[in-house]
Amino acid sequence: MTHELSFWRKYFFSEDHKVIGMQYIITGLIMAAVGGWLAYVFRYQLAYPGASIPLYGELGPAQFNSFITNHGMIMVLWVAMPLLLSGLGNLLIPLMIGTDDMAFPTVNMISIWIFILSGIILIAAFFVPGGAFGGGWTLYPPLSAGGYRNTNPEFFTALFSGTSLFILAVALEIVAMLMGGINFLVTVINKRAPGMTAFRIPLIIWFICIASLDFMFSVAPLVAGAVMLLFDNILGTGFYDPARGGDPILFQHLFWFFGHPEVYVILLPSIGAVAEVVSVFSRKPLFAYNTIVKLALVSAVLAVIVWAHHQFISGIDPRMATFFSVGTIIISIPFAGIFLSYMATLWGGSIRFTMPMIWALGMIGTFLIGGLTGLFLGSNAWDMFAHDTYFIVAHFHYTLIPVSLYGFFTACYYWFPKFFGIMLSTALGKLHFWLTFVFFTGFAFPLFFFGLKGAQRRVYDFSAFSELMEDPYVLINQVSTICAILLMLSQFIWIYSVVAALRKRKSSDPIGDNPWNANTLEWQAPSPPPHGNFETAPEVFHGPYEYSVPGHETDFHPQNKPIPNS
Amino acid sequence: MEITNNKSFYYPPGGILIWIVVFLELVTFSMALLVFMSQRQTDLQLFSESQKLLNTTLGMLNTITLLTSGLFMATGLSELKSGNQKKAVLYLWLTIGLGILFMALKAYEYYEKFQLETSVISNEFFMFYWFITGFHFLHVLVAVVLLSFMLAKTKSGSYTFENFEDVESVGIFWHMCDLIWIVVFPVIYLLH
Repeated sequence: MTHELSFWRKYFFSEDHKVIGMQYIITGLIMAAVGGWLAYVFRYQLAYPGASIPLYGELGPAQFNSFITNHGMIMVLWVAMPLLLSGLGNLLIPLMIGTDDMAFPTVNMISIWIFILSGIILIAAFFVPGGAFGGGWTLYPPLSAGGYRNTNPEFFTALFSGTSLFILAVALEIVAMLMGGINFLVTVINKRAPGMTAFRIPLIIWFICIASLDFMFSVAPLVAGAVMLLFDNILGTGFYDPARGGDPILFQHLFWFFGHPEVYVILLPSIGAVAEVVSVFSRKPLFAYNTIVKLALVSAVLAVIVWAHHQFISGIDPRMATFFSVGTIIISIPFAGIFLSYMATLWGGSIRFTMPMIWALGMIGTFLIGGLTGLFLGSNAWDMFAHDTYFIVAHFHYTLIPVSLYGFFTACYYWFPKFFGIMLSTALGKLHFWLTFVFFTGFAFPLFFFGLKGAQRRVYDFSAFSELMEDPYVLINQVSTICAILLMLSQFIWIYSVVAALRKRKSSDPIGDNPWNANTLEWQAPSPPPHGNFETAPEVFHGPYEYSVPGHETDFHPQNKPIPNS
Repeated sequence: MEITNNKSFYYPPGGILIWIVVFLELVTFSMALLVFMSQRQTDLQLFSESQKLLNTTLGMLNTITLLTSGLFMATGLSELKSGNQKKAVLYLWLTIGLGILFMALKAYEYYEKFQLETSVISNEFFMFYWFITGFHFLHVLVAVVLLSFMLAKTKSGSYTFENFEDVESVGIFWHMCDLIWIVVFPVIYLLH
């Protein structure tokens, strides 16, 4: 493995899991900037309807629709998924299970390039005649199925319409993620270091595997559904057209059968990173490790049988609605169990408030609000009122932002020294955390009240609704917009701190392989890990969370070294 | 540095990868068939009238062709495992031949449907008929292409009685095509 690779093979078409992981994260961050830009433009329109938006100009209603649609899809499929599932999965799985690379490196390389291609197609859709798709990120027919056209479209016009490109991009993204997910599972099943038994695998790896399983199980029907939707658009079939015997609700079922488990696909890797950090910086074994794994498995099963709670007002049978309501509320039990275990880990630990720990605690606290409002929405009687209002918007920003933003930064501040050999600045980190925390709350929390007043989402201009133009509500919209813009600007602190750290990497003192005194295998490899990861193949002797074992000098015991006298 | 694995990649026959693929395919096809069944309930008359236009004789022939090719595939693999490379090549030829026969019969069936002017946009039954059988057809096509690679490499001696996992996993994919057809055929062609 010592042969020199050309520049392109090393940084672009690399088969090294670390390079691919970084490519996923960088692509995800670029897409986050695109999604953030869209959010800036339409939030500005909501706060100051009709105003000329700085750096953009006036936003028309059709553009508004396509902006909110693409913002939603980009943030879920092109930001949260690559950052958390593919990014962390690729970077960490081989290192944490003690092997040299993924099971299928070439498949892995193809997967990132399909992913990048899908992102390009999505953005290209903005520039075709008619503009990008604007029927909401959930792609509901008839808006997405060409049902608003009365004539059969010409084939090529239909193929290169914003709608078709959007569906195609989603389908390709799913293909890329499937290739990655298969790779993760095969790697963890087959390539573990000797001694790495099932219940010695670090929790984040367990969670990434469970998330991949859930994703693979739930996404297959959506692929079929998306192809049917594409046929409706280009060939003029009527799978979702009631006039020709089709059923638009069918797509809602196929979409949410994927869409709901998708929430857990994003959530699980994120809380996996939180688990690692909480245990390391409490210097305590993770409370109830085995139970957490089992709870996560239970939640993965429950996740695929609750999807219709997104469709309470789509005319489903009330008896079915009750079933889905109960299921939705039950699914909070395993997650309550997992988060209570994290609390129990903190209890009595000797807590270090390092940057990763601060982000992890912030994630737990902020996600609580999102989780609790989910209980309200899960009840079908109450959901009738709140459906499609800004209460929902606030709810899912309160679940997805702690998960994808806070969770990603937890992982970033924790593993950055491993992959770059230098720490991120704590002072800048604290500034970054507090500004993010304050502005996020300022952006999302007021929207709960806006939604309870009855404000529907996806509305271009609220000035037509007199009750929403009364005193606090205009202000709420403006505060929310200003905070959202400041939230995005605060992220430049993080970018600055990353760039600053990388620039002084060569001149500063080496921090060693294991700066946090952690047990898991990735800290036993050199920082940054070379191609092939480990100098000698590691062997595993005990579980990943053996901190502060009584009667020993050090409070940590790397997994590849036996604990003496025990 | 090389890290040896404590477990073979190929612990389940053909490797774990192909089983994950099979799992995904079966989930997708069974979902499509479930949707077909539930849509059928909404307009039984349309579905049964359209179904009468299908050629069950060709469907039966197709079933026999696929099942026989499955037998040849399994025999070919066991010949390869016991070291009879020549026989393995022969059976792979037979498998591919029957696969091509299947596609030819299917193409004729599609041609017949075009003659009846029943394309994918005719009615709901034919949307699903084309969608489901068309995707199955694509799978058979992919499998035949893969089998041709296996044949070429078996002929050149790359696959032996010690190194047959690729052939085995393509074989599993081929049997999966059989399995899907065995469910698709009665559900779409025969069920009244």
